[in-house]
Amino acid sequence: MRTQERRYGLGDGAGDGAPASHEASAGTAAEATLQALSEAFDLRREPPRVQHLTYFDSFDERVWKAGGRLAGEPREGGGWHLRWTRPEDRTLEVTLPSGDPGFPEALPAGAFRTALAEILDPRRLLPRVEVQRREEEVRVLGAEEKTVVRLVLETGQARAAAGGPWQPLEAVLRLQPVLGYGASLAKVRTFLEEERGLEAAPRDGLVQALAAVGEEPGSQAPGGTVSLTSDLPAAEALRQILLAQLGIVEANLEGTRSGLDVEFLHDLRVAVRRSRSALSQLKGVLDPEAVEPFRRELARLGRATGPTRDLDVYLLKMPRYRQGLPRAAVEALQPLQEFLEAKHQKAQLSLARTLGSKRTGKFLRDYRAYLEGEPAPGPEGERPLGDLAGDRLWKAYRKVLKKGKKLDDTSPAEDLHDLRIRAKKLRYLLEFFGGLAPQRTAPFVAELKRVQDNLGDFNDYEVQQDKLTDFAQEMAKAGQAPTETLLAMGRLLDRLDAGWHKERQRFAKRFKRFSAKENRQAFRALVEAVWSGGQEG
Amino acid sequence: MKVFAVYSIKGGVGKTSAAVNLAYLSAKEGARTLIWDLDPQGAATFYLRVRPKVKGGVKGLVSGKRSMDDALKGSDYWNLHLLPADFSYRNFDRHVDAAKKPEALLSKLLQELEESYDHVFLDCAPSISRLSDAIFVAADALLVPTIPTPLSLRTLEQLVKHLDKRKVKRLQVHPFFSMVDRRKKLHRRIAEDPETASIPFLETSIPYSSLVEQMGLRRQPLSAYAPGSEAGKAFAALWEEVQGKVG
Repeated sequence: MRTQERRYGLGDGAGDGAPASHEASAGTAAEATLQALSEAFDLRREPPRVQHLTYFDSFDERVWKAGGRLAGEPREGGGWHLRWTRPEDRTLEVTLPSGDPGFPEALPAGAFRTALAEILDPRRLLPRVEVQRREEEVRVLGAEEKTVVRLVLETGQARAAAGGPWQPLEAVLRLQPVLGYGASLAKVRTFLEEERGLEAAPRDGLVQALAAVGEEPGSQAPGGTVSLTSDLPAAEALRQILLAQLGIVEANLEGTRSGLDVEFLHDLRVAVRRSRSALSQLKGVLDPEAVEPFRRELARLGRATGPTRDLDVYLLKMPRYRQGLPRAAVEALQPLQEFLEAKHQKAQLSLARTLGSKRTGKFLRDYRAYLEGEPAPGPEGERPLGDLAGDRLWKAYRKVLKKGKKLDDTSPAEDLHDLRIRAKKLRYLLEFFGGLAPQRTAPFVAELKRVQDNLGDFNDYEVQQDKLTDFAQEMAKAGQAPTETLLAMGRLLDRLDAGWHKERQRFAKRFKRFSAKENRQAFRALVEAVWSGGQEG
Repeated sequence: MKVFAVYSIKGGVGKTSAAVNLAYLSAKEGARTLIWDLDPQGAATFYLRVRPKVKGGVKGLVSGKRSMDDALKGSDYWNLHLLPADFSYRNFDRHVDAAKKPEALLSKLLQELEESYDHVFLDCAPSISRLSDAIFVAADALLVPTIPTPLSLRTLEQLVKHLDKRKVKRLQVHPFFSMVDRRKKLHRRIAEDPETASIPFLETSIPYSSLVEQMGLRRQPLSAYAPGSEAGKAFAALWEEVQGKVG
C-alpha cells in the first residue's frame, strides 16, 4: 500500500551523544524543529518509546541483497518478535516463542518462514547490528482532531552484533503519510523541506546503524573479485587473486569452525580449491620454492574439509532422496539419518580441531605476510597478464574439448570425472581473468556451466552410491542396521542409480552444444580479446 | 482476505461499536484491516473522525468510475483504514438493483482490495434489503449482535429463515449477545439460556456499559481507551473467539 515514508536527517544526536533512554530528550535540533512545527500545525506528541532492535541477516546478507530489512525485538520471557520489510511485497511478522533466530525451519509455519527459507536456504540468520532506538510519535491533527500526518522522531545508538561500544546515531525525523490525506502531507513536507531546510536522509535504519559502527551493508562476506588489467605483471595479478581468496578463507573460518551453517565450509573450501588451482595452473608465475610450503598447507586444508562437506551434502540431499518413498521406507531410513548425523558430528569436531590448530593459524599468518610482502616472481612472473592469461585459458579450453570429444555413451565414469576436473579448472581461470573481457566471458560461462552442472550431478550420484554402500557396511558391522533399513537403503541406491543414468544420458547433448562451432568461435574471440589487452572488438 | 459483516435487522443493538472495536483489535494484532461504513448514518466514520464523504458517491463506486482505492482513508491507528460512509449510500439498494448481477456486486467491489487487506469489516445498515443480500454473498462471516430480549431473538429467527431461503452456503452466521444489562433479570435469563435452538450463540457476550457510549464523545474505539475495562476485555475475547471460528 502507498505508505512510503520519508526520512530527514536532523544532524544532531551524534553531537550530544545522548544515549537512548526514557529520560533522554530528542536532541536540540529535533526540539527546534518540533517547536517550529507546532507553531504552524496542530501537533500531538505521544510519550516516547524505546526499542531494542537487532537486525538479522545471513552471513552473505541475502535479506539485504533482496532489498529487505529483517529486525527483531527480544520478548520478555524469551523468544523474539521478527519484522521483515520487503521492497516489493508486504511486510511480514512472526513471533519466535523461544530461542534466538537462526534457521527458517525453527520459525512457526507460515508466510514468513516460507519466504525466508526461499532466499536463505541453506543459510541461517545471524545478528548483524544492534540498535537502541528512542521513538517519539508526533501526530499532525486536521479537522475534528483527526490524525492526518504522522511524524516519528528517532534518536538512538548502535553497536556491532559482536559487541563493542555503543555509537550514537544521527537524529532522524520520519514523515509518514496517512492514507487519503495527501494535501496535509504535502503541506507538512513543504514546511520541513522549504521552511526548515531539512534534507532527505539517504540511509535507512539499517544502513545508518551499520555506518555508525563503521560498516556498510553487503560487505560482510568478501566476494573474491579483483579488478585486473592486462598490462599488469602476472606475478602481481596472481598475488591479488590469492590474497582475495585468502580473505574468503579467513572470513569463513570462524563460521566453519563453529558449524553455523553449511555455506561457511562450502565457501571456505571453494576458496582453498581456487587458490590451489591458481597456483598449479599458473605455475612459474611466483617463485616455485617460496610457494611450495603454502601449496602443501592448502592441500592439507582441502583434505581436512572433505569429510564434513561430503556429509553436509548427504544430509542436505536426504530429504529430496526420500521424497516419494513409501512411508514405511522413510521410517526405516531413520537409522541411516542418525548414523550420518553422528558421523557428521565427529567429522565436524575433527575439522574444528584442524582449523583451530596452531599450525593452521601459523599458516594463515605466514601466507598473508607472504602475499602482502613483495613475493618474488618466478620465471613467468614478469609477463603481462593478458598474454599469460590468454595462453592459459586457451590451453585449459583445448584440454576440455579434447577430452570431451573422445567421450561417447560407452565411456567409463572415470573419464567423465576427468573431464569434470578439467572443466572446473577452466571455470576457475574464467573467474580469475574473465574481468579482462567481461562481455565475452559471461555468455561463455553460461554455456560451460550447463556442462559442469551435468558432470557435477553425475559425479554426485556416482560418489553417493559408493558412499551409501560403505555406510551400509559400516552400519551392519556396528549392528546399527536392521534388515528394513538395509532394504530401504537398497531402494535409495536404485534411485541414485536412476539419477546417474539420467545425467549420463544428458551428457552427449550438453557437450555437443558446448563444443558447437559458434561456441568455439566465441571462446576464440574471448581469448583473443584477453591477448590483445581487453580491447574487445 | 476475510470479510466480516457486522449485521442486524434491528438498529441500536451495538452493531457499530462492535465493528469498530473488532476492526481496531484486528489492526492492533498486525492484520491489515479495513472498515467499510455502509450505513448512511455514518456512525463508524464519526467514531474514527473521518469526514463522511466519498467522492462520486455510491454511483462512482458501483459504476467503477471511481476506484475504491481513492476513497480509502487512514484512521488514527496503524493498519486500520476506513472506507467512509456517504449520504448517497441511502440509495445503495437502487444501485444494487441496477447492477448486472445484483447479489455479486459487493464481492466484485471487494475483489479490488483483495491484495491490500487481511480483514474487512462491513458495518451494515439495519434492515433486510437488496444491499444486505449482496452482503450475505460477499461476507465470510455474519456477526449478529443481539440484545437478550424475546423481540430480538424473534428478529434473529427471521434472519435465519431468510438466509435459509437464500441458500448462502459458505456464509457462517455467528450471533452474540450485545448490550447485556446484568441488572435486568430478563437479560440474564435469556443470555444464560437462549431459547432459540436454531443457531448457536458465540460464548462471549458484550455487556451494556456507559464506557461504550462514551465512544461518541471520545471518538475512539473503546478498545483503545479502555482495553482493561469489562467491555474492553469482552471485545478482545469476542475477537479471539471469532478468529477461532473463521480463521
